[in-house]
Amino acid sequence: MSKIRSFIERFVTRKIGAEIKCCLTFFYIVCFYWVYRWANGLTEASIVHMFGMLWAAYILEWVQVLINCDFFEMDRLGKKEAAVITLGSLIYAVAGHFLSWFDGNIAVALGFWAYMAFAYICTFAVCKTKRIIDAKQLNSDLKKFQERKNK
Amino acid sequence: MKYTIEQIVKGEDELILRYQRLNSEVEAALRFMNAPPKKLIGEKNDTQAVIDFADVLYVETVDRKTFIYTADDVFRSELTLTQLEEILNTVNFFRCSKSMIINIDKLTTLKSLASNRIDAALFNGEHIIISRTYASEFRKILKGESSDE
Repeated sequence: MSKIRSFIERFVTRKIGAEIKCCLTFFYIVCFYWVYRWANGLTEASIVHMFGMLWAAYILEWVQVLINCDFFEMDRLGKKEAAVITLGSLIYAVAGHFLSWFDGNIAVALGFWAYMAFAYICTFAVCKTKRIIDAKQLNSDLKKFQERKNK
Repeated sequence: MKYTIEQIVKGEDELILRYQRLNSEVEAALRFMNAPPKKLIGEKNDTQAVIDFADVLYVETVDRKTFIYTADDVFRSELTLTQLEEILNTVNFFRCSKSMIINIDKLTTLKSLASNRIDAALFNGEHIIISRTYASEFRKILKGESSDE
């Protein structure tokens, strides 16, 4: 019973994590899309485009979680991580191009690729900073624990 | 209360408590006398060794065999990890994974890793990863929020 419970807990934790990543990635894509539309004098967004963005984000983030190439959880920016960021953002750019989010404009799609890579790097930096702050708190708690116990 | 301390040349060390009524002083002495011995028995090269709790860095199970690690040595224990966990429960020890118990007192630094894991560095330079499953309980213990404390 505890094994089933443990499995469900692990699954739910993973699912929640993946859903949050999907939402954040969707937000990144939509921000670029809105700026692109606005720069072209359009103030309306296509629901079909947004549907495509949502599914692209959902599928890609789940794939990253399942193959353990999740950029949210990277400890450092090495070659493998750089490859994940480059390839991940490229897939979004290709999806954007073929789903006509940017009216087939290759230059904008390339810009979108760079933007998504930058968004990934920013997210990595934020997660890394969060872990550095957390480590400081952990070490402070450890010191207090050791002092408390050795009094 | 009167204290009598006597050094003996022969025979076994002995602690005798004589009292008429239970009071706080007597109770404190009784607690000390009833406290489990803070020692473990380990085996190395067919020789038994007594290991002080304070010298233990961590205890690990490998292939159903339990090993006690100190700064300089590794000893085999006849006890299971669960039995050792019960014995070590009174002091600064924490079950950090299915197969390991660490001495929190011997940790020097902690590093927060992805997926809510913790990298714990021991003073001898070894690193132990505390998994997500055990990390939240570990954080509570450090903060003094655990029910075990």
